[in-house]
Amino acid sequence: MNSREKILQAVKLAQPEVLPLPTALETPTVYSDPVVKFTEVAQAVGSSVIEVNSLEAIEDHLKEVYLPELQKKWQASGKLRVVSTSVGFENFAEQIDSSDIDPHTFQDVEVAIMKADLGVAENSALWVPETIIRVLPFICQHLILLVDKKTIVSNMHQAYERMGLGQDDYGAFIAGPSKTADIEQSLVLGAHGPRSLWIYLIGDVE
Amino acid sequence: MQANEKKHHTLADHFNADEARVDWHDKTLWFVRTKRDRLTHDLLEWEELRDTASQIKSHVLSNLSQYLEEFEQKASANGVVVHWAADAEEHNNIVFNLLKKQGIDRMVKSKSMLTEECHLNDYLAKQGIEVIDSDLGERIVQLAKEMPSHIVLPCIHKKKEEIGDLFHEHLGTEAGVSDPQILTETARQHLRDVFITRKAALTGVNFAIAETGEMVICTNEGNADMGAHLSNIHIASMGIEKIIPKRAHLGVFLRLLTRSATGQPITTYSSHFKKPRKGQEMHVILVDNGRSRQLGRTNFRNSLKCIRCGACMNTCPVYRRSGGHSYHNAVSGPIGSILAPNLDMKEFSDLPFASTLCGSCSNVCPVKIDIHDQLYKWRQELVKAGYTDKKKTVAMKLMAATLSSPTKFKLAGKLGRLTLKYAPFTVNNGLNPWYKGREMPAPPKESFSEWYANRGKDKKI
Repeated sequence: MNSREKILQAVKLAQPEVLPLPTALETPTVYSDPVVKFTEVAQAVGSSVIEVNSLEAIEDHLKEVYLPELQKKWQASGKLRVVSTSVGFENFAEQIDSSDIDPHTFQDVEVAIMKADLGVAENSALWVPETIIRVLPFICQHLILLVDKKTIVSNMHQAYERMGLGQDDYGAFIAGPSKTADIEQSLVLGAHGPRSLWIYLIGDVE
Repeated sequence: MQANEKKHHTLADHFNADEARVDWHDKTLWFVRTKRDRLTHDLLEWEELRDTASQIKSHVLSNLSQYLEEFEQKASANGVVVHWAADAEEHNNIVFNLLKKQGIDRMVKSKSMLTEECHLNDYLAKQGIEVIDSDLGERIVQLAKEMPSHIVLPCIHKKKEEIGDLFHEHLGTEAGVSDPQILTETARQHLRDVFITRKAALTGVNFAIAETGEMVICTNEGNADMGAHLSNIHIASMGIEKIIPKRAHLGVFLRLLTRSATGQPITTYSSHFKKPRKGQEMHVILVDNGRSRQLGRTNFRNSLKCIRCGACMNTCPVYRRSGGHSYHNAVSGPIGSILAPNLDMKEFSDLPFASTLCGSCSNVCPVKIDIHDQLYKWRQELVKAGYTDKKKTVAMKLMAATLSSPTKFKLAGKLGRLTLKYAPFTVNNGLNPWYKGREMPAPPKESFSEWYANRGKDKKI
């Protein structure tokens, strides 16, 4: 008997009679304004949130506020490598459209711009499906996520209900910049992944 | 090492030699517990969530063989290679052979308590394979050549100055630097280089979903993703109890896990691995290592519901004051004390006694494991199996004989009161192990029976 059969047989012998699965939660908390809650929680976990009404507004904000602030705060000098898997930022970002690129070549990316499918108000998590380069939202120094305001749900139950079984080969809920408190419980942003996360909440596009 | 030196009370003694450090350790963990309270009290449905999670896990354990087969089928269809390991040795062998086949001798690993349980790093080192732990806390204890002292906060027992010294020695920081910001940045640079250069990555698994074959891995640092997405081969190691039936159940577990663990609403990353990246190999090893045996123990079956949040450790008055290393097992604290005797009853016979049975662990457990009841039940099993101190058994029998006879009881009470009054040193000395850490109460002048018989005698009418 191989280990697979051995384990399965041992488990079969040991497990009790089948117990029922519970039903879904009756009334999980929902928020009257999920966007407000989302913003509050996102800021509490170290993200920055900007509400905008058009892609042009994002571009303007990125050029006029985000990049200058980034350079000042993180003392980033010289030309920053900015990449995007989302179309519309060709003016100042390298457009990534081929998954055949070796992921290691993204190790010098300063800023990555990507889209999230939905957001969750209770914990500010954004669902980021695999977008061309799996490692991109982790390997960049700073991450920018764009999300449609209308996709913000209240809680994780609603999120999975909307996502169903999913079509993505890989995907991650991302809530805030990478962080650690392993040294004496002192919170430090920027453990291995991005040092900062900016979220653009896109409202009704005019 | 002599048998007694490895026992909880002796190891706790070492930890307690530095009282200021014990106080600091106690307070730090209590701080994490209070963060948990703040987050859980915010959620009106918290108790309903715990009940639901506990019932989902009960269902999984009652139907585990079928879910394992369903997971295997779905994961295989996704292009993930599924391996089965009956014990630690087989698990370690599978990992080694996968690396050997690719000619790889350096691997990066994210947090996996299972690989600690299997002593994978030591095994691979003997085979000439270098493993670097990428979770910051785990890297720190690895540099110190220690085990993690806590499943979520691996170096919670270390002061930042000690970490500074380690980094000075191994990573070249300036001597005396202990600022967490600077130390973390140093580790970031050091480990980034590791992520970029390693061709193999091993991760643990928080949840494996039967209906989709997905594996979900939760980290705050992003280290599991950095390792896995830059590797040619990703190996995920998981205990067979990590299965959940449906994807929607993640809604329940992801809401509970980090609120209970660190008082965050969710981990920074909850990554869902379904298919390997183009050109990458993805493997999962399903490990039993005693879990099917524990499943068959009706009294201890529920311990397999554990989602490894560490809340029982943060709240435990014994853990907070004795430190994780005093449990001499990969998983420490209350949950470790009910898991460990299943692995080796003799070696871990001391752990179920390292508790006050106060029940705080059961109260905070997100999947409602009856931890303190199981600790109590393990004590009985261990005594029956003959793994406890014989001196205590003799004393217990003597006490049972005394308590069952009114004459002996009265005499013993009188003698006891006289002894404590006139010769307390005969009890309060190094020869009496029970007295250690305890103060004897002041003896009453008379017993209740004596008082009852004498009452009213000097009453004036």
